Amino acid sequence: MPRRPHSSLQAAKLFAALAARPHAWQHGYDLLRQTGLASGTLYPLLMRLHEAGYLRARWEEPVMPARAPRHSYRLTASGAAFARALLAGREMHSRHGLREKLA
Amino acid sequence: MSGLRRLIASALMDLCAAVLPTVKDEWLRAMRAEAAHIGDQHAMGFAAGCLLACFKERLRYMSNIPAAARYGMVAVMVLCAVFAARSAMHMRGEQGLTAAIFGGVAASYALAAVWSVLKGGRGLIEAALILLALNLAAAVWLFSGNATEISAFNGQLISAVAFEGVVIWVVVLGFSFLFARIPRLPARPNNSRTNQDEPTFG
Repeated sequence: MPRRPHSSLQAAKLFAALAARPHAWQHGYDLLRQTGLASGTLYPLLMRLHEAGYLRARWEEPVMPARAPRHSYRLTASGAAFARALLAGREMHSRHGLREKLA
Repeated sequence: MSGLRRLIASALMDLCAAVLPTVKDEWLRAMRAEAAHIGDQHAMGFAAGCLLACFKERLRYMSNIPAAARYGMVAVMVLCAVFAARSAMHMRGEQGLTAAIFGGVAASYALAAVWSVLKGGRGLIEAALILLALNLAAAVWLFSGNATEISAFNGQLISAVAFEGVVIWVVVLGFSFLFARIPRLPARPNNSRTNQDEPTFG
């Protein structure tokens, strides 16, 4: 069965970080630290989610100590719904796996 | 030392600019801005990751390459099959074993080509894996000393065919895996949503 798009473990980590603060605009480096992903994984993911309409991006005026505008991100309504479904599915899957191991 | 790291990070970000497709310039600026914000200690690793990200994006935009590469490889296989089959035809009669070796090579290339056309990229990988295993087995058999009953000429021929096969199929396999990882993109990737409803600064 083909895997659902944007449902990898890395994508789930990113969705979890973004969904934890759904109204906050977060920078790339903040997301790197929260998710533990490398920039080589994070940015392609951000680009794909943005193309899919799950992510909004904007430039923010610099706040000290930053000297240049920074790109920041947050989930769209459809992104938040996708994140909820994805994270709930992963949680259910892991619970089911744990129950099977315990049985 | 931190100055050197910053310099390398800056050079890597310049490389990113050369690699990333121009439709993704917004993202290049985003990565540059983030790299400038990060401390010197982490900037180099961050920039190296960004370069990897840029290569991934570039590959995504080369969506016509996988099919072209597959059919290119199939064309090479067909040529190899024809060449080996012609050699087998010339040698049948007086050099039976040599002709059989060439015939086997021709058949393997032809089957791999047909399988790759029928099954797509996955078929190419399967064919390459099977033929790589066969060629490796032939090479191991030759070196194990079990091939004493065949003439020196045929021994050299099998050895050449086996090693050539290993090299060819490793290359085919490498390319196949590389291209199999590239997802197909929509016809026109939409990057216009950045700043769609947000003010732009800078």
